[in-house]
Amino acid sequence: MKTSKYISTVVRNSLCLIITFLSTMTVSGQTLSGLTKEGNKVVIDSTMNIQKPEGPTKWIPQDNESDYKTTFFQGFTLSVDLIGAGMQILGDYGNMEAALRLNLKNTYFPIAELGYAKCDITDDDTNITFKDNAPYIRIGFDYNILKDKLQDNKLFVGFRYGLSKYDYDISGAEMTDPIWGGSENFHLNNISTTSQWLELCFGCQVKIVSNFHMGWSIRYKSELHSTKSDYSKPYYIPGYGTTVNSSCWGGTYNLIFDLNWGKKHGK
Amino acid sequence: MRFANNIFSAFCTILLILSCSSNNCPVDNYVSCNYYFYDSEGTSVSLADTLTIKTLLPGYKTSYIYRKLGYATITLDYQDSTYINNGYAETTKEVRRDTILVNKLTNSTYFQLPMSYFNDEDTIVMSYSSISLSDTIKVRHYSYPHIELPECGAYRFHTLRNVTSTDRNIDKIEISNPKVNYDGNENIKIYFNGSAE
Repeated sequence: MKTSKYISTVVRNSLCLIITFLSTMTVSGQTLSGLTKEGNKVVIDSTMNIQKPEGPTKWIPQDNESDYKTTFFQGFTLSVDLIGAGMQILGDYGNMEAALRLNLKNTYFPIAELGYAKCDITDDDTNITFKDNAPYIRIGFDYNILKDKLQDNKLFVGFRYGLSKYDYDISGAEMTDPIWGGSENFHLNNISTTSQWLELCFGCQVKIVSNFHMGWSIRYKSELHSTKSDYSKPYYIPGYGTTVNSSCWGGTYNLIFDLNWGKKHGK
Repeated sequence: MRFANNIFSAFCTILLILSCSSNNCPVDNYVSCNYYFYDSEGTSVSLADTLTIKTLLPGYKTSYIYRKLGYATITLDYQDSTYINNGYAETTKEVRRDTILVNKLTNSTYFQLPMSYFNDEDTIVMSYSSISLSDTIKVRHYSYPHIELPECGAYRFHTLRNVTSTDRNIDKIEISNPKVNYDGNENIKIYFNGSAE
């Protein structure tokens, strides 16, 4: 029950984060629509009915937030991915993955993701089997796009560069020569490959209890380069996924331990 | 805030642009060794002759030969008593099995042939309509399986090692690209006797 409650909290809070972010974008647009530019001055168009805000329009840090900008390193998070682990248990391929993310000014988040992926799949139509298992690493950067950087929840956009060096095996059913005759099975073992790829990420992180957070990310992945072999190309790249298409989508659902000693609301 | 808005907008735009992708299974997946025609000076030519190409298969077969004075010799893969009734003399001999790969090719600058999966050497016999003699080409190669993706199936690619030919109508022959796959590249150049000029 508690697990489902936590997950629903994450879903609800992430939706709130996205709605909040989109609404702030819309408000910014409305404010600008009442302004005209004359030379280097920006003046308010008197014909438009604009309600002036009562307080100052520019955000000014409060006294207890004034030292926020001076603290560069705010902490770090450790996280594990649940989707990859679930896929490994239930499906033909998957990965175990952990990540370390640094928190710089609650805005910039350099991240390193380490994992170990495994694939053992046989195509039903062709009876060709592909196997590999290897570690991988992704390094990258997230940017918190929320206006309020001090809150516990975060909404990210970012990118990753992924790298994996691995060996894979391919074996298949008999190949029959239609003209000269004869047939043979094939077993191609230990084809050594190095793959590189890029990912664009969008995701969020919401607080559950104390320092424990949950979050998700969706990722658009594009393969940069894989070592070419005369025999085949890899079907599954550890950390990237299947290469059925020249690009693919992926996602993570993360359990996160957030150790943040930086400035927060009410502290 | 505007900076964050810009980043978010750029992110969405990039995702939309990159969302197009293609399946990696090859559409043109006929693996063939491609032979192109040249004259003795290296100019690409279209062969006016009619070309029939056979390849020798493993094993032997009985060939029936019918001869009659003043008539052309007839060679058949099967026995035909009609010729004996018409006064032909029948002889038999054991010859290599063969099969026709290209039948009566005309006005072409090239031909495409499959290669054997498990033999080291393929023997190609080119017969011309204009002369009764034929040329024999021997191609030594190494074959290996190639899998683009498990769902695409397995193909047999080849690497050419050596090519030789007889010189009835062929001046010389050479490998231009040893990789035989489904890319459709020229693999072997055949230089015929004479010049296109």
